[in-house]
Order: sequence, then structure tokens, then C-alpha cells
Amino acid sequence: MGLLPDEAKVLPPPGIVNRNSVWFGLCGWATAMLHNSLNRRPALKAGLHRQALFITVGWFIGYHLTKFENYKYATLDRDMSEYIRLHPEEFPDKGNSTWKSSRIPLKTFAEIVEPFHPIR
Amino acid sequence: MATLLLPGSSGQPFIQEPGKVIEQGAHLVWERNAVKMPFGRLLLRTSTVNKMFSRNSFIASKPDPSKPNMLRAGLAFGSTAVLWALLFKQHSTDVHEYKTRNGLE
Repeated sequence: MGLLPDEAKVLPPPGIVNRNSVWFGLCGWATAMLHNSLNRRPALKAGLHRQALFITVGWFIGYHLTKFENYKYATLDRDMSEYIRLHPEEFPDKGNSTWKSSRIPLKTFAEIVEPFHPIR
Repeated sequence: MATLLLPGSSGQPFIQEPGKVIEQGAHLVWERNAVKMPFGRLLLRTSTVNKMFSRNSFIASKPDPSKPNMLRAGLAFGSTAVLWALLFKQHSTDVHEYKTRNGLE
């Protein structure tokens, strides 16, 4: 992991077949086929070594990109959970426990966001 | 006036008008009289030295699909295999690291 810190290893690694890998692999294959077409060669049958190499490079980049993406989303989730934990007053209970609902009233979105002036 | 012998032709020279661009597949070959002489004079040894970096129109040829560049194809397939091996190794390392750090193994 070149650009991932050590703590990222706690996360479950993506499978070999993952969304980004498949997409980048397909993009690499499309690039190789476009290269064939632009050089007036049969798109699918020519330059198989090039097609294989481009698919592999795309797959490789996609795998590491998925790892990076997982880490980024995990840090965001961690920061969000930490904020919720430190500011419980902003996240009152919906009303399942009677004690909490009586003390801290739930705010609706209308009270939080700016006033709405419909122009119809 | 210089003449141009196309590969695969019957051997009869094909005489072009000066300054006309002849298309050969994806490569353009300038008719000789249209090119200024000093350029050719500067590249006196290009037929022996500079084949990788510049293509002298006097010795250029169309890429021949019936004679594949085995070195290049072999390198491409080799690096493909290396990349897949690297990927699988990295994945197994990641799985092992994950299991060790979370105490699953």
C-alpha cells in the first residue's frame, strides 16, 4: 500500500473481482481495441498481447483504487461516528425511550434549514 | 524526379508529381523533391543509428503483420503474467494481514 497508512490494513481487502477492477479492465480492453481500429487492424483479433496487458494494468489499478476508496469511506464513517458520539444533544432519540423524548424534542428539517419561500 | 517503388508492386516504378503526398496505410511518405535537402544531409547516418527514435523516410517501411515483433509480444505477455502474480500475492498478503489484525486466525 503506497499511499495507504498502516491502519488501513485493518479493513477487509476487496476481492480480486471488484467493481473498479472490472471497469478499468474493460476500459483497458476498449483502449486496446481502439488502438487496433485506429491502425486499421481487426479490432478483436489483432494485438492480443496488447489487449491482455491493458486489461491487466486496468485490473491492477482498479484493485488498488478499491482499497484506497474503502479506506477513505472508512475514515469518513469513523469521523462521523466520533462526532455523533461527542455531540449527543444534536441526535435525540426518535421516541423509543420515553425519558429521552420528553427531555429533548426532535427537530424537524424545517426548523434546521433556512425558511422556504416557494416560487410557483 | 525521384520515383517510388511500393512494396508488393510488380516492379514497375510509380512516378509521382513533385510535392504530392502519397499515403501508405497509416504512414505518409513525402515525395522526395518536396523535402528540402539540408534535412536529409543532417541525417547522414540515420539508416544505421537512429532507428528507434526517428524514422528516415528513405529507409522507412510499413509494419508487417506477418512478421510479429516477438520480443515486444513476449515482453507484453511476460509483464501481464508478472502483474497478475503481483496482484494475487498482494491480495493474499492483505487477507492475511486483515485476519491477523482482527484476531480471526
